[in-house]
Amino acid sequence: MRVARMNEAEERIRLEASVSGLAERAPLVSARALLTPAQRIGLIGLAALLVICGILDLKATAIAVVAVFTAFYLVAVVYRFALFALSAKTESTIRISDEEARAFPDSELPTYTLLIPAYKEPEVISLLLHNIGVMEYPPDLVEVMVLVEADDTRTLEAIRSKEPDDRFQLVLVPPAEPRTKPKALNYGLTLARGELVAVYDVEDEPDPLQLRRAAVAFSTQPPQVGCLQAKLSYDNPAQNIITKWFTIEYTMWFSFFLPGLASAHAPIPLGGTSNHFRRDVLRRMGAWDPFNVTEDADLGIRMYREGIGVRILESVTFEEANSDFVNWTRQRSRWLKGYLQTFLIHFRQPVRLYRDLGWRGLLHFAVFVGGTPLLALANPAFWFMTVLWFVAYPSFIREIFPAPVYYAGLLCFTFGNFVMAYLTVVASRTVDEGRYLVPALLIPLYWIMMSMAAVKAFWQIVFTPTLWEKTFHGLGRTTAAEHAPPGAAGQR
Amino acid sequence: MTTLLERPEGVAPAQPPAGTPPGPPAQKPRSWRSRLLSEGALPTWLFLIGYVILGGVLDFHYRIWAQDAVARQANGFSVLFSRDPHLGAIGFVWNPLPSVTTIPFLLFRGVFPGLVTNNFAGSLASAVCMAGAVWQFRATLQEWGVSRPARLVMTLCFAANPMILYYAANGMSEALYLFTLLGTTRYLIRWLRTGSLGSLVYAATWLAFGYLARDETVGSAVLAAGVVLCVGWSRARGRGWGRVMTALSDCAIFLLPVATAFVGWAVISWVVVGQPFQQFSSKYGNASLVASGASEVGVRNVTLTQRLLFEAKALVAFSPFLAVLAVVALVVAARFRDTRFLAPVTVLGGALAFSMVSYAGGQTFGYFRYYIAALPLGILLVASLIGAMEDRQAPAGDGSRWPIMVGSAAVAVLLVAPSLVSTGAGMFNPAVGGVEAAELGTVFQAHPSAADEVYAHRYGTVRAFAATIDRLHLPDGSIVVDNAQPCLSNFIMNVKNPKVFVIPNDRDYQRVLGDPFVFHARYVLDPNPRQIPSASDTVAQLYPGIFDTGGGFTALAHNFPAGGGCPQYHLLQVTGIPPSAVG
Repeated sequence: MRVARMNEAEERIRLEASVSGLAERAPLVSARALLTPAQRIGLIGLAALLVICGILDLKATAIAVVAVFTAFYLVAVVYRFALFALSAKTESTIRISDEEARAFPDSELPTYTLLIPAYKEPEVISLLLHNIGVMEYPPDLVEVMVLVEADDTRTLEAIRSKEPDDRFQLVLVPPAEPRTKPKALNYGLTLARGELVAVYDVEDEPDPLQLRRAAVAFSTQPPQVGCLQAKLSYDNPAQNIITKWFTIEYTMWFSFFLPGLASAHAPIPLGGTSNHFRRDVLRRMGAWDPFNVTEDADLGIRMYREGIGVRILESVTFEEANSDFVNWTRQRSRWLKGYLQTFLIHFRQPVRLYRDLGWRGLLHFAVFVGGTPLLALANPAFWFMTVLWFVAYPSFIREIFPAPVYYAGLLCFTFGNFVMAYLTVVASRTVDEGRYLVPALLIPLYWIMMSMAAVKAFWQIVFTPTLWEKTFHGLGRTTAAEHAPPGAAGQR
Repeated sequence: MTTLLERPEGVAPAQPPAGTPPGPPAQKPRSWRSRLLSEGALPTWLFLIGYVILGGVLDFHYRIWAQDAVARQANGFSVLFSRDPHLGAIGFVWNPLPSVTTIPFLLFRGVFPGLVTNNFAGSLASAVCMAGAVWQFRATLQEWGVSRPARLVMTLCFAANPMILYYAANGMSEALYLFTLLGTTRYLIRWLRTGSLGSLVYAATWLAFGYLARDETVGSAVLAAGVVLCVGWSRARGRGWGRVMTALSDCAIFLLPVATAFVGWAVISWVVVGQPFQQFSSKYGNASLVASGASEVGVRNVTLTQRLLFEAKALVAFSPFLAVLAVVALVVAARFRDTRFLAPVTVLGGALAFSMVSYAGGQTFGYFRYYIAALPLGILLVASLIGAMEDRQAPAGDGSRWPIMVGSAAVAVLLVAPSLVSTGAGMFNPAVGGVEAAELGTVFQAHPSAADEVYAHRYGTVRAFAATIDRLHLPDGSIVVDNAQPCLSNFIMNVKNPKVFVIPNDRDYQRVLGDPFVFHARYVLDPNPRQIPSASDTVAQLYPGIFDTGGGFTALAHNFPAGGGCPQYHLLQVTGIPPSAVG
């Protein structure tokens, strides 16, 4: 195994580029600060306006708020079904058969760098070496960079003790804030020499032909296609009901929604692993935002804004699903928070965003990235009102739901919930030959969990901004830790 | 080892040089003109125009209005323009979708009143749905791989069948019924062919809409679910329980939408009117109408043998060779192990079976139109034979295909065209198409009988009624009436201000009916109980004998004589508190 060595000055330059590269190049898309002064004033103004309207006419304000949310629900439901319908289009996903992947001459394969951030997870290192070791790609054309914080001695020990071969290169990331996965990735990218770059988590089990498939796929795509997202799934769905739900959800995400987005030529929020990039494209656009807790989703949006194409690659990487309720909530609230963060950051310049995305792209962005956390948050309020209505018939509910809003709400409640549950059942059919029909039918319980995570995410953003700062430490890096077996997760 | 990441000299980079055409050529978006002139679109919109013209001629020139179509449009009308506009006013006796489809057209009442007064909104809705059925039908034939000439012959024979023409134009629910059944058939065939989940989802969605149009779809759901279960099981990998779960998953995907529509509609009905299945339990539902001996096609004095005979005649009229075709198609499908055959047989056949069992069991009327699914079923069975024959003789893409194509078009003409004649004959035979013969009598009979003349006088009766009510210049909510009675939907939609009526779909109907005096209703309108189904009038139920005696709290203000197929009506002025409301 090789170790990347450099002097202190070089290390400092690379670190500086990894932390501040994007913030200096394009401060308005960096999450270094959550809100710009204008945004702060705008949001406070909006809140004040709501309060004033509420004081002047509480009923009318409540009707307006309910109507806006109901309209948003309707759009979101129709939108998701449309994505499902679009996903069936064949061109949305690139398929490279085993034969095609293997038949591609080695001499024409591009060079590849794999970036694998590892943080406090010594237990899974041997797994990593095995899973990456079995990938089919000419060894002299691939370099595997394991990115480890220089003070994470246990992980370092674990790697050194396994004595990996020369394809592996150990990169020591200088200990500095923010300790996030995107910062480590940026650091690795400054050293990467492959024409193509891929990102994996430590415990990932990629399809052994994935690199070849991606290389062949890139060769068939125009140069403006800068990224391929492989599909993610879980290898432990049978563990408990949470992992079953999680697996079905991932299937919906990667088999329906992302291919649907790709078909619609919409911005695609990337998943955190198994993304393949053209290196020069990635560098040119400033790579990952080290301050964004869902840097993957953010990167997808930024690529779209810069006119860089993202496609879905038919090749599966297996991960380990989060089986523990507390860990699941922690991870999910981070995702939802990250989506919200990404939403706010890109809306700093709404006119420019509109110019970059067009009205369709803006709709996709608002409904998919903004809508996911917002609606997860709003759900409990509407469920509560529905139950209250059927139990007690309180008059205030009748008042804030005038006929048009009531019927739209009723449609959302019946048709909307049905569509979402039904798509879940359809997705479950594609997982393990339909053995998860029963968990799919129980999916509303999972929605409740999701809403709890959303409440937590919003609580952190709105009421305890300081906690936001604290959670920031190593947040990105917790992805891997959370995926690791329970023993490893407790060490954060 | 070689230096990492150093490409051997002289080897080209993998990325395509700038300017290289990207991958497979992008499909050029088709222009609007080529889309409109495509094989799928052209028959659809040509027939749409034809159906709309036909509907206009029936509604405005002959003024022939199918009563159930008027009633369904009246429900859509109540949602928008009644005294108490609300979605619940759609009514729960019939499944809601046929009424819902009239709503978009009714919105233009201000621009064109004829949409409402002459039932043209209903005709437009059925024309659009029947054009949709034509579109699905042609696509189904294509799904089956039938070559173009035969496909077009069969589409034409379907779309121009006299019953299709009439039911596309008259605003009845048959158009939506066929549209949804054919949508289900089309995608189920695709699922049987490719196994793609998306197709199963579409088939399931169409089936659910089908239930919201007509109850008969329950028959399709039951039989087709059996097919999905069996085929799903035979395709599933693995063994034992896992295989069963796979098949159950397929079945769940197919049935969940229709089951949700079924349960959802029942729950909404139960919440709004207190009865989950009003179509069966309500006094307006077919079951009770049958029991009360209503309608010209009652079943009381008809023996089972006679009913079965009627059904056989109806089936033969729609599809003269249906029985033979079914047997031959079954043999051919079994021989080539082609499961696609099961889609039309279960979806269209299931709905047909539901109708047949209902009538044979005395649960509904013997209406010719209830067997309309036999028409596409018969043609699709022919299509299955032609598809199989063409596949064997010359696979697609073979240049020598044209003699086969001509042959199959000839077979199509031979086996399908006779239905044009047989259906027409059935339609005008009062023993088969009783309703159609009566409604269209004035149009096609050179010397119309007295019974034919009845429908011709309907318009005069309706106008006379509307003029009388308009002259009274009543405020909203003045007349209590049960609008399920014959002709009332026509009456209400023809007065200038339909809000003068308090109808059962209004949420305060029961209250106002219970004490019209206190709740400011000035009149009660009631039909002659000897000219309508006895148990179906809620006014007479509460106030027996009110038509003749005034019930002790009303006095006769105006007599509307019977005419144009409408019963006699009494407009009774409220003079006091009903005896039943005192104390």
